[in-house]
Amino acid sequence: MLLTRALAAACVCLSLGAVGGRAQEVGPDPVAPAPAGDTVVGVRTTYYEQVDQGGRDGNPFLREDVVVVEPAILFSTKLDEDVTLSALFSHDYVSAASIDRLQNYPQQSGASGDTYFGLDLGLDVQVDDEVAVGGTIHAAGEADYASGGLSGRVSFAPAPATRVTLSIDVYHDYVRRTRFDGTTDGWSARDTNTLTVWVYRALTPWLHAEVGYSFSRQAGALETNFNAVVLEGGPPNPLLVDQFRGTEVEEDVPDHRLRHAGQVRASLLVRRGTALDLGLSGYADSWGLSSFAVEPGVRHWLVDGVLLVRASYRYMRQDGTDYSADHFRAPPPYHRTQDPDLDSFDLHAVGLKLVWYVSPGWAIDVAGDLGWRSDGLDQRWLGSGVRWEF
Amino acid sequence: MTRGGIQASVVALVCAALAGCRAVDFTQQRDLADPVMTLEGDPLEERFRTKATASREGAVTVGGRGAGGCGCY
Repeated sequence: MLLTRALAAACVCLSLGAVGGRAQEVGPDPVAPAPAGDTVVGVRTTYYEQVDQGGRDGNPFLREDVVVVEPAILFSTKLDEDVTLSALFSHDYVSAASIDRLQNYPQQSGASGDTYFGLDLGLDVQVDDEVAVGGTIHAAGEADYASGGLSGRVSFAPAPATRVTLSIDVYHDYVRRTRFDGTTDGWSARDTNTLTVWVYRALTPWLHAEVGYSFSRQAGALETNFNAVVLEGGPPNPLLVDQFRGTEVEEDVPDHRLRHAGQVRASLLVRRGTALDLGLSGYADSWGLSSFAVEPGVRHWLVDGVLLVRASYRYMRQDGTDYSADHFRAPPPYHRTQDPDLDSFDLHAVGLKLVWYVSPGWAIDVAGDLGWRSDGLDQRWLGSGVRWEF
Repeated sequence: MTRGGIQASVVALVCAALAGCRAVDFTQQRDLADPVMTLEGDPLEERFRTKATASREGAVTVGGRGAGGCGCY
């Protein structure tokens, strides 16, 4: 239902844009910094924080504060006119209340953080003027997660001003099942296979858009480490917020998940140096979770060719899984989760980004986002990046 | 998704595609190359946003790997 609404709204927007664009005049050359070379190096660091006010937001029995620091480096270079090599290295340091709680259990070693490293290596080949192919090898790891993956993609132009991209992603991961109390069940496999199609089209000289769809199949150990479900009743539990009367048991979700995602993105030049953009997305899966999001934005040259700003707003509505509930009592259902990220909530978020084109080949940006969730788990992030072309 | 929903989605997709049925000539696409018109953001920033969505929401984004290989938090 939500996915249908998103696609229907996209149809209306694109139709109106195709009509309205005729009223504009073709302006002078666009305001765009000239490309400086065949090699690109990008460095970025992002700070992310989720706030659980006194532990009562989200899951009211457990603290869910999270802080993440994520640096990443991107390198891309043309080996020759038709071949591009790319590499992306990323690292996360996670500090979370769910990890901190493990120190309360004698079985846990006492680690208070989680460290992730990931590396993607890609190769893209322009076969001819209309067809391009590419592939990427993925590898990532952290203390309780190891991942290996392959991606393949093909892009072709079936008509003028149109491009279709098909891609397949295959991941074979291993998760060390770790319960809320730090005990482990050994390593279990988790497979994720995703098929994605994007269709891009220039609709008018001032409006272009792309429509995408992904289908994913996941199988294996799909629970989230450290997650717990609280069965209400019994004596006060000093490990719960406000020493709530409850007993923790582990989360249990199905070992199979089918996921559908759809998205539309469009941008309309309203006058020289200013464009409006709109994003619509819809999602539904076999666990009963569905969501719909709309994200309008505006980009504007504050100083032509030098300083660009983007402001955005995002609204997202999520309806939770069939296994989610705010309250559980013994005996627990076979499949159960109290993860607030799988539950129902609304999100309002505002974002701002500034890009400074320092000189041909150099750009620095700062971007941030504030989000307010109806379940109280507000979030904020701030990132900054440098991009060098030579 | 019901059969009616699937049919409506297909109609919507066709409608969206036909909305610009007259092809834009290559010489008329220069404004589309302006950074204000970009449909995709910085690749490192987009990667973070995709991962944040997969971690903090139940959904995944299109092209977001389906949450595989995710060091999610």
